[in-house]
Amino acid sequence: MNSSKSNLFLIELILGIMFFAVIAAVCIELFSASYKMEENSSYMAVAVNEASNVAEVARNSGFDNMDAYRDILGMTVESDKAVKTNEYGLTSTITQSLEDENTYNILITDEEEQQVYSLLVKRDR
Amino acid sequence: MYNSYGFEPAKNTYKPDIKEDKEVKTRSAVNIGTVSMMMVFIGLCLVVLSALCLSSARGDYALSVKMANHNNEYYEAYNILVDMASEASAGAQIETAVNDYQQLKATVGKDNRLEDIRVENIDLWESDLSLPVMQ
Repeated sequence: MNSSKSNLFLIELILGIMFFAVIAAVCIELFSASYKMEENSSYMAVAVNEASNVAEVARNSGFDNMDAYRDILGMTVESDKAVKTNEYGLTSTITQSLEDENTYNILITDEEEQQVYSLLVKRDR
Repeated sequence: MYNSYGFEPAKNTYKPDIKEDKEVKTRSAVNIGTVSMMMVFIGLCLVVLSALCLSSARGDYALSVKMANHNNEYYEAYNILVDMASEASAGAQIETAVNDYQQLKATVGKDNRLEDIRVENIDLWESDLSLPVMQ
């Protein structure tokens, strides 16, 4: 009698552990997807803010006053672009459009150089 | 039957208080079924928490995408205003739609630069109260 109860309990325990393992695997998948999604959304929000900051300078001064990018935004100014990497690892780059010299392309990329956000802004003449 | 003293001896009615050997039942601390119930409860908790977590993350992501789209709409409208200003005379009021609910207005200043840029609501915003379920 006792032996059969122990066997039953053992089977139940094993089934319980298997059930828990399956549920845990599914939940870990969901938690990791949530974490990744939260990370993407925070990157997106930061990228939009960064792009807006750069766009506000670009629409007022274009590339006539490159010092503004360095002084106001703390960007590294090169001959044809200005670049800045923030604490999130997002890199903001502003370049002049090839089609229109008054249009500027602002590109925000992540650490793997994948595009997070981009914005086209025209300079106010 | 009388004894040698001429009376009947009393019957021995004494019964020793001997308890019957009862079967000793051993009860385990965890009964059969408790483990299953606990596992179902823990599993349900995990599933509910992860679903809430995912729902919150999806909401945040949707908000970020919405914000990015609105930013794009704003700068697209701004770029249109810049083009309009280059062909307008000084002092003219120009406007263009940002989206269905907002428009971007500006005054053309000297050298065709935009002045007094502002976003105005053109329609009443109505909150979306619909639920994302089958209708």
